[in-house]
Amino acid sequence: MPTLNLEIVTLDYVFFKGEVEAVKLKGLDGYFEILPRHADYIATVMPEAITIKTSQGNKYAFISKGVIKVQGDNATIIVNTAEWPHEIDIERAEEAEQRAREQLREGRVSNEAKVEMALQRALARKKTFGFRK
Amino acid sequence: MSGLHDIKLRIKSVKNTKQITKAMNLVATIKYKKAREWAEHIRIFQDRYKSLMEDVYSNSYDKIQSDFLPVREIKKTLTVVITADRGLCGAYNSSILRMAAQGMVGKNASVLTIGSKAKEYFKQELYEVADSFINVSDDITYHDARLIAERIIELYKTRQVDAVMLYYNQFVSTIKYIPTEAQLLPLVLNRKDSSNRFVYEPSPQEMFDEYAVEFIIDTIFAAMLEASASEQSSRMTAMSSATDNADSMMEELSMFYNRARQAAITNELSEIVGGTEALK
Repeated sequence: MPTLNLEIVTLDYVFFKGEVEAVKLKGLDGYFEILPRHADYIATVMPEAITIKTSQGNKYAFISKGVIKVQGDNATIIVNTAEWPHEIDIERAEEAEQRAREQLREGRVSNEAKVEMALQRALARKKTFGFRK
Repeated sequence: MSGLHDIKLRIKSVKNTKQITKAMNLVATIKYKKAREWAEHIRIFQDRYKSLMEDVYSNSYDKIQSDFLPVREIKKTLTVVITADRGLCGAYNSSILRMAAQGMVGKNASVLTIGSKAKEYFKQELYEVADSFINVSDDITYHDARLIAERIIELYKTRQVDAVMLYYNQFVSTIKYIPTEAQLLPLVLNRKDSSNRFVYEPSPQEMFDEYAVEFIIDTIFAAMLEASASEQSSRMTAMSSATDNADSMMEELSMFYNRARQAAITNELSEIVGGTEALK
């Protein structure tokens, strides 16, 4: 089975590096999957619980907003933060969700896009947390 | 006997100083390990990000429109200097300040300072200070880097400055750092071989607009982390040699002390002997 060299780089460290069979992410227009022999591609990725398919099964991780670059058999995801399910602070995510929802409901937000993004991050973290073993 | 007492006091004060420098050395060593790790990680991130920016730029350099690319005449430059908030770290602050001040000679330039040492320096020399950020060098956060970057971008976009130069100490090793001058704005991007044709989502123009700001924040964050690793290593080295100096000073002083004490005893003995002789 052909594989893809995936690297996830964050501000703090190289979060993941290894051979994978596929990686499923969320783009601006919904979900997409990068398989080996994909065309050279650069795209924005949204905060989401991503799925990394390896020969040893699936791994799940939270990523913040960032970008993916696919070139030949190499894929690099550049994001500010990435977390494994067991690393997620679920209480903080819940609080962030509530805060964002309240702000959106009250409707007096100066920067709606920013709050919307915070809400998406919180939801993605919660979703990732659900994958912990 | 006053000589003896004086030496004793000096030994005591050198000993106290040594305790302080030793403690500072230990603290710097711990901070250095962390700072070095961060500096090394951010380099990987920054390398990937720059490569990405260059891909986007190379793909449609003739079509991308951006304020961040070199399009306008440079009338005024902003000098951004990163120093420490505290001293006692060898030549760390002075070398970068000197370089930044030299870079401003003959230019129409204002300065944005990061760290108290830079703030003090440019206040004294009567420069035009655009803004100052202090108390950020000890605990560097992405949030601080973002605030600083946003301020710089604001100055640039409102055309108060047309170019931004960044001055910071680049970390090399425990005993070495290099005062570095780098152009932050307009962005310096190399054009790559265009044989790689990427499919973009969204368009290169939209991507460029979105990632340019992020790239500027990251560049500042990376420079702050490089500076922090240099600062801690410099302080570590400075404090370790100060401790060594205190050691050799104490050795010398205790030799003087012993000599003076022996002289006093000899003196006293000869007085007693002299006295008994006189009684005979």
